[in-house]
Amino acid sequence: MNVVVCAKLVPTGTPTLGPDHLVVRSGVDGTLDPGDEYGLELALQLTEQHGGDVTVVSMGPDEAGQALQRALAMGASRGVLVSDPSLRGADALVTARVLAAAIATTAFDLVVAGVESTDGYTGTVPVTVAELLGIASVTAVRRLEPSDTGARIERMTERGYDVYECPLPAVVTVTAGAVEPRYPSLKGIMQAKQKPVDRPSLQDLGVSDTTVTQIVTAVTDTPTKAGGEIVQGDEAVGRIADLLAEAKAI
Amino acid sequence: MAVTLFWRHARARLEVLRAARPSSRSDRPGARARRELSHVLGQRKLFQKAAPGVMHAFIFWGFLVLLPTIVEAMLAAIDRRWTLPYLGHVAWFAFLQDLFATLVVVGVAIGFAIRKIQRPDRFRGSHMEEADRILLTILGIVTTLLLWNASRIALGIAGHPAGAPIADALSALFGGGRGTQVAERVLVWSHLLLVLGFLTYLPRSKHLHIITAAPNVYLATNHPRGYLEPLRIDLETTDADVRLGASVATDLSRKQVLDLFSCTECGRCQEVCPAWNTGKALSPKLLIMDLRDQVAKEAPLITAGAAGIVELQPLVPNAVADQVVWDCVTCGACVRECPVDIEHIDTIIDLRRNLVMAESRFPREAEARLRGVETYENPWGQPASARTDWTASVEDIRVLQPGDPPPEVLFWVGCAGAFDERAQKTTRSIARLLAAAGIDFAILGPRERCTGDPARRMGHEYLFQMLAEANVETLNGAGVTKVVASCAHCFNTLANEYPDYGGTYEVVHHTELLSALVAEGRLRPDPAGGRGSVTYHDACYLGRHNGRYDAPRDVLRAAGAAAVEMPRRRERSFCCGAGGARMWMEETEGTRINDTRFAEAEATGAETVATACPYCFVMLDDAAKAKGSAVRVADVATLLAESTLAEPDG
Ligand SMILES: Cc1cc2nc3c(=O)[nH]c(=O)nc-3n(C[C@@H](O)[C@H](O)[C@H](O)COP(=O)(O)OP(=O)(O)OC[C@H]3O[C@@H](n4cnc5c(N)ncnc54)[C@H](O)[C@@H]3O)c2cc1C
Ligand code: SF4
Ligand code: SF4
Repeated sequence: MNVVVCAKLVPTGTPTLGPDHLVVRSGVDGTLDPGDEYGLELALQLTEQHGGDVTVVSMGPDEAGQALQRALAMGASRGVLVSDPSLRGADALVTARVLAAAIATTAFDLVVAGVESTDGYTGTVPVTVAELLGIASVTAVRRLEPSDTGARIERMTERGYDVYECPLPAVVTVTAGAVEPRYPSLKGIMQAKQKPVDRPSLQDLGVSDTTVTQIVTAVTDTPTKAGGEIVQGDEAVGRIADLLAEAKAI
Repeated sequence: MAVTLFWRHARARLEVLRAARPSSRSDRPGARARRELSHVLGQRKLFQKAAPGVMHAFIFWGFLVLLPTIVEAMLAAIDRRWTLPYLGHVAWFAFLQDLFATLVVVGVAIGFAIRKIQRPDRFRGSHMEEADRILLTILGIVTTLLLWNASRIALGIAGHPAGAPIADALSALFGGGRGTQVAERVLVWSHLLLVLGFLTYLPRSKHLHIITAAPNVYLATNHPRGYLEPLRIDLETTDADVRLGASVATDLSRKQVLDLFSCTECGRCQEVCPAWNTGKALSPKLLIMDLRDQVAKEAPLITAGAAGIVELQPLVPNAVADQVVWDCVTCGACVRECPVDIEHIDTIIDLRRNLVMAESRFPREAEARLRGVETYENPWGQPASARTDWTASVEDIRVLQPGDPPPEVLFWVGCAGAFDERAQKTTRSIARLLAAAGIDFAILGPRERCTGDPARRMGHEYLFQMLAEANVETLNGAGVTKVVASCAHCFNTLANEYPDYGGTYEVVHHTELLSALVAEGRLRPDPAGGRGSVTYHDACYLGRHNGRYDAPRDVLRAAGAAAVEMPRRRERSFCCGAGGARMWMEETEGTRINDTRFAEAEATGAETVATACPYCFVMLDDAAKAKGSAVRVADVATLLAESTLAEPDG
């Protein structure tokens, strides 16, 4: 079974927004999104047990190469990195388009992604990728085993889990804690340097539409106020008038 | 024939040694020679235990003196009138022979008394019958010698009967007639046969130490015990087959292999090991014996060259279990006790290096800490900016900015001192005391990184190397010349290990600096307040590993503490359980090391247990809390601050 894993580089520490309201990514230390390590681990275990290779796909600045190196050190066989200045500030849809196009260039039976990223956390990219590739998707997966018809998948729910029979290829997102990600050995890190990383351009992938949502402003949540006052009964009207007067609103 | 047999077995061992990685242990031959005199000739480490020390010294010195006797007996065996050119004719040699042969008999008797009557636990797991056989052979060698000399006196062919009172007394057993002539022949030949038998048995037994101990002592490290030899790793140039610690027998260095061939199974290391004493799988003695057995078993493969090496079995878990390797707190008690200078820690760390860097096999709970060090450069996984959080309640701490003039002393706070809430108290005490003494000091703040000690002791040499290089660059760039460290582990790494990475500074521990400031009168504690009775716990990396015992005690005395000592103190101190990155690992087997140590401290009746390292502090404080004890645990600096400053902490 050949598996493609989507892995994202996220900044270490708290992400900061630049003047253009975009997350400052270049020149910032980053790591492989810890959430993506679960998907990668699941993929590695699958291929170790049932054969096949793991390919890691990432879209991001040049620094995203670090995330790929980490994934390769953990045991993935090769990497694909899509990096283009026009992708800066890409929104979830553009990200999904690019990833889908990159995934389509490989021979795969399964695409694995995180449930949501640690920095953007829209949680929409993987399902959009599935839609663009025209294949099924299952989110919040905690277990996956190949079966006669494709894969037997356990999906986390609020009360427990559901079991799905899903045809392959498909896209799945893996929950944190589903597996225990391995700690790459130094040997693995050394070997990772020898592993191939493709860097296709947008033309290679045939992606032309990279127009993104215009971000007008970014706001920070104001802290929620301590509970207000509930007024009831006959004096309610008078009490409200008093309060408004106190607040100098009338 | 005996010589051929001896040589065949000895050569097998020699070839294994030759196949091992060369050790670079030739620096400072003067120091090595002095150690040879004190440890081998002077038997200094053996005398760390009285009765066994006397036993061994008698036998060892006896054999040195009796070596020429072997030649004498060989000559006389051919013709009873032949003897040694000069020695055979002087009274003093006859006397020495007589005296030391008797002392060996006494030594053997003590040896049997220890083994058969006292039966100390340190022998658990040692080869007891082998030791008995050897003691009996030794007894045989010297009794035949004494009796042979006695028969010669009876026959009137010994030069100096008066010089050998014991043999002279024994000569009464012989009539001097034909029977004595036959007895004399039988005795000299039995003496020689026993000596030759001993020789052939030697290379296959723990008694090989007779030959290997002297070179092993010579090759012991000249560095302070806390120092580890670097394993340079260059990710850019090294290929994937590079040696990352010790996986199989041939990865061991010559000193490490010689260590294995030198072990006498005396168990002195086992007796003091905190892991063994609290019911863990690790015994330093059994570790060495198990590794030795695998190396001996694989000797033919090892010496067969490249073809054999592919068939070598990994040392872990074949010779020693994974857990054994992780049980060690690197306290160094074993190394200190070992009479033949075996360096257990170096081998354990080499095994860990392979497990972590090549196999990624280590206790899972330590992973979060390793990741913290990797990503945030501290095991707490805190952002660098939080390193100065403790300064909030202390006035005017200078944080050294790039380009600033260097301070007189750089205060190396350490990760525990910066991030651990309890250790922060110590940090504040030190800062306030330094300020009160008018010391020009500064901290690196967010530019300080973990020294790498826990990563290194855990076996992640590469992570350590990156941190060491980065820290040295910062320190050198800032023009730092003198550093004061509050953590015993930081102290050891900065003082002993950073020179290998280009960082050479005058490194002092805070207790040393504080003790000097008190002595100079720059800090004036008021002993009248009294700190009650205090027992001081020696941190391994300050005491045994670096020989700093007195400064913390001096500070406590100045602070007005009434010192009470624990039974295990100074160079024989018992670890708190946190060293060797054990701080990051769960302790599930047996009893807890920190509980054991705290109970010992509590038993002194002291009101306070004083520590000088944040790791010890946290471990013992945890033990005190777990037990609900009224005994207080506090750093030496905190106690001094309470006696010296108007506002010790706020
Ligand atoms: C401050 C801020 C403002 C934003 N504003 C908008 C906006 O206005 N409109 C909008 O549409 N989006 C917006 N985004 C989201 C957008 O930039 C996403 O961060 C990005 O497109 C990826 O989506 P995500 O991180 O939410 O991925 P998620 O869907 O949360 O990620 C799930 C999984 O998809 C995979 N994945 C996601 N991204 C990548 C990648 N680059 N490479 C490889 N695998 C990947 C990973 O496996 C990941 O675990 C904003 C983000 C931030 C931080
Ligand atoms: S260093 Fe300490 S814990 Fe480790 S083996 Fe030696 S005595 Fe035991
Ligand atoms: S390692 Fe040293 S102390 Fe331990 S049993 Fe062997 S010789 Fe004795």
